[in-house]
Amino acid sequence: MSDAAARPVADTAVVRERRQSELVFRRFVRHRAAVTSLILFVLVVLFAYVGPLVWKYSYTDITDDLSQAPSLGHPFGTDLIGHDTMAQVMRGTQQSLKIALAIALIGTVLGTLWGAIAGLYRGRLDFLMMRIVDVVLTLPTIAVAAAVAVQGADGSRWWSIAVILGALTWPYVSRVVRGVVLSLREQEFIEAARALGAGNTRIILRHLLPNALGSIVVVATLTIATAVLGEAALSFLGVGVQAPDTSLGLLVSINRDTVSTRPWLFYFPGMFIILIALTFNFVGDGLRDALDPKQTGARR
Amino acid sequence: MLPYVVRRLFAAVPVLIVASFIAYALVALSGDPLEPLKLRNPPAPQHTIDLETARLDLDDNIAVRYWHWLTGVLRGDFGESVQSGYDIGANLARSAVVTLRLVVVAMLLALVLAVITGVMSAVRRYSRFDHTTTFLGFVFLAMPSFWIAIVLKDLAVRYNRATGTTVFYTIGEKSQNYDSLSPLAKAGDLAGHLILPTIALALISYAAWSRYQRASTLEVLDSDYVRLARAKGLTRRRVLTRHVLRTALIPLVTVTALDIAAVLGGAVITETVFNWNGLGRMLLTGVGRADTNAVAGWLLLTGIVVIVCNVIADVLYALLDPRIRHE
Repeated sequence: MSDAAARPVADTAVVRERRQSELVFRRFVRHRAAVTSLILFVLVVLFAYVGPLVWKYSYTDITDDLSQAPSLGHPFGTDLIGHDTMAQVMRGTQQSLKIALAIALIGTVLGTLWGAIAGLYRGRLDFLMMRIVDVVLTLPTIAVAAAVAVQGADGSRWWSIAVILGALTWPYVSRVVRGVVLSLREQEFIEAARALGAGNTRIILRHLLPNALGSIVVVATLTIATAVLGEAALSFLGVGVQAPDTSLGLLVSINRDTVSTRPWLFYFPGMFIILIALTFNFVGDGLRDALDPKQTGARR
Repeated sequence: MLPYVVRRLFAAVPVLIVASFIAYALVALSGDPLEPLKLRNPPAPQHTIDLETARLDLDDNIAVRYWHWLTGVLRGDFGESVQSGYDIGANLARSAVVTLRLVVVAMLLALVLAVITGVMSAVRRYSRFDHTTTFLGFVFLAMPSFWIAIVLKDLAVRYNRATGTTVFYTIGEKSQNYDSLSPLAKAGDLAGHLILPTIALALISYAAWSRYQRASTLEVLDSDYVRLARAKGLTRRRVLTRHVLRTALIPLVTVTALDIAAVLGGAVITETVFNWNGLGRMLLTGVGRADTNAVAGWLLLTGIVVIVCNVIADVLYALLDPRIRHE
């Protein structure tokens, strides 16, 4: 403490900032489940994106091995017409991850801006914006997906699913962000900024969003987990990714009747859905603990 | 309190109207309901197509059709369905009974389990029990609902085959011969069909709710008034039931009611896996056949259920927590 006081003012400020992020990092590392999940997730990404470059089969290849149980040649087995299931799961994981990340991105950006504006302006605008949120939350996902699916071109299929689910996800994010902004805006530092003549744009971008960042990051992480499950559910109901392309949800869906006869076709893609959703939930949990300023690091 | 409830319900009316219009328009744009008729081989006579077009009001634009539908609903008429002879109002009522049975039982099961395990893992924080239930909760949260349902169904089929009995029914919401059964057998039949879908639907809500319960119990356990109650020399049991639970249950009430929309969505999928003829099938058939009136009616019903539950949540919250006032 006396050491810091001896330093020039500018120097102390720099050191402090680094300490804050260091603290968050330390707290996160102490969350064992979160760190394990992060490592597992990196492995899943490597499996999905590097795997196809190394693995001898592509997801479109048709081999002579029909309906084979997992073996050394086909670690995840093969399906009825000879597709290598591991190659299919790699491709499915790629597509599912891509869709989930796009959903989370769309949902988080849109939801953050919407929630921040509503929370900041309050009054009539807030009321109107929140009623729009209510409308979107009332719409059944399947009806929206089916309607847009018919219009969507085949080539940009994964993209249209991401847009649909992203457009149905942002209300959840906006509610969280609005809540955070509502409590932040009452605090003294916002009042100080306003007194210094800062406009609304500046207050949102420079003061509110950075302080709400922790909560936004946590919501975004958890959104990825729900997005993976959402994509899977849409594909299961037949309005998601369509063959010949594939996704984890589609793989589980088309193999649902083989669960007792050729279980590997059903369980391997399912495991990957669970793995992705599980790791993101744990990482989100770890981030929440690490970013929470009320936490003192007494976590065991 | 009453003016607050009335105001909330009034505010919900425009939301429902806009939402049902969007759903109506989306379904109308998704396809031509007469396509199967036009593509039929041999082709349907032009006269039939004209009659169907007139019956379904297809010549008008979407806004006019929606207006006809809306004014019809206010008079208690849910409009014509694409499937001829299909009474949308009657089917909504019948499906709602089927689906709400599943949803209510599943939510009750999830609630009871969530409260018990949530409180227990808070009281024994960082014990083996706490770690196990926390991990299991995360796993359930990460499972797609249809995946759990299919696995349960497979297990039940295996069990039935191994024991040569049918304790668990895996198809439909009731047996074919349901109407000929005695009242007692009817109840047993419904219960047998209900077990698996209920578990499948309950597990996911349970996972989230037990986390909430654990967090809110921990917060209350750490408060001064609980410390005081302990210091007074009250028994652990009395502190827990009289002082901790009363406060710690409040957040869960809100969460449960707010989650009803998600549970209804989950029910659509669970019903599909178990071949139930409820609201899920009604929505999927309606969307598949571009049946605008059926989908809009569906949305109106579920929307009202969701909104009423949200209002009930707020009212209960105020009743349970004297610090909250709705003026």
